[in-house]
Amino acid sequence: MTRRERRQAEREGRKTGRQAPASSSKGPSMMLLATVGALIAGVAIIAVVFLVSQPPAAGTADLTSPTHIPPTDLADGRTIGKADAPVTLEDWSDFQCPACGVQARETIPQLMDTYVRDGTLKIVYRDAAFQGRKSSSSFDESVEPAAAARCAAEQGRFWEYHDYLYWNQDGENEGGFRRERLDQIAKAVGLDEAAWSTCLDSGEQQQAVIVETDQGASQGIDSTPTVYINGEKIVGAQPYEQLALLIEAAAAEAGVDSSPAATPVP
Amino acid sequence: MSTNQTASTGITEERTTVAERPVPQPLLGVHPGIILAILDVIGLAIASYLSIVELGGGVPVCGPITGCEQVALSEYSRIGGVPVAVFGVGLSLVLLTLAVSWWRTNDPRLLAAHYGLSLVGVLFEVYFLTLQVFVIGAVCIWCTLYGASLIARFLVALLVWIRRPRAVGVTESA
Repeated sequence: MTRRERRQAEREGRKTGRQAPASSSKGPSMMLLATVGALIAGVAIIAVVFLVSQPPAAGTADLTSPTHIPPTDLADGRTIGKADAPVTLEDWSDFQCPACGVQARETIPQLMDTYVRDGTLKIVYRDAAFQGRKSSSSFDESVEPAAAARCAAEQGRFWEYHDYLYWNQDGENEGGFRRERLDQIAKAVGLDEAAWSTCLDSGEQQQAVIVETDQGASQGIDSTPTVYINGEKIVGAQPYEQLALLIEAAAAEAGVDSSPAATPVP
Repeated sequence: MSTNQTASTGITEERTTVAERPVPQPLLGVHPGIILAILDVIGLAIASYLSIVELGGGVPVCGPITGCEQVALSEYSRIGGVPVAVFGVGLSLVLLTLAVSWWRTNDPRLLAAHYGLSLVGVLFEVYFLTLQVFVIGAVCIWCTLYGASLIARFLVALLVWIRRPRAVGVTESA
């Protein structure tokens, strides 16, 4: 039916008591209803999502505080202990590795309290940050926290940052060490956040972490944690008692030799 | 639709005698409900991929176009702990049901519901894209493709609605 025919039909319809399409008034109102309803629902949903999705700002309330205080008076960058300690423990770890977390939370604190404080042992932290390589993410959750800890070391706070990382592990490559989280830890540790951010954003420390990780791999470190006690390699997290025996044996041997054993520091 | 009034009042009794469910004009040679359903399936596939990857603890792969990872790892990628993509799956399933139902029945209320829901989705996509650009600082190409499919669904529903034939409402007086 052409427009002209339709108008003609309508004119005739009016004459004969017929009326214009009854449903024509239903269409626009239904569309208007759908549009208004959608706009209201859309705005409401966005408002709710906005409120629910707000990140915990700069708060640190959801961070777990470390339950051990390292002897920071003996800290020098990523080394903790007296420089002339006869035993050196090199700890090759990844901040994302669960076993490294167990070692850092349970074994290392006891070693610090027993052997670091009395001058027998110094601990050197090394990066074997390869867990993040399993993820396709451009944000490497092993390299980034390691770099963040190195940036904390520039302010003499490596071990505090180290402890916060290990006390706040949250899965591997699942956002547990996303940048916001690293920022929160920097705040909790009490760093100069601007200087720390500048350090981390420069990317230099990330590069250093990668270089050290590759060096470790080239000397056969393919599992974390791996520790060297005066050069003796031990793979996997060990109970405190086992490491204590090895440290005492190394100390006795070093005492005989009167010289700290060399360790394969890359 | 009918309007019935008793003849005893002296007022005309009217009764609609035509179809309430007008058949829409074909789009690309087929019923527009099929076009909407195809777009819904595309959206469903994208949202399903993102959901499976994120629920599996991974991050979506974007190939040479980076950004998916950063968006997926941001706290904005989840609502109440649930990946946003899961809501996209739910929305696509509902839209697909509406599209197929409308195709089979031509009930205009189903088209209106599809139109309204896809508009809600478009509004959310605008919000999410704004977050990606201005807050997260990265754009997820998969999320953007899903948003594009939503915009296409909304526009098709709108076009169909505008072009739809009115029910030839010939009413007769009794």
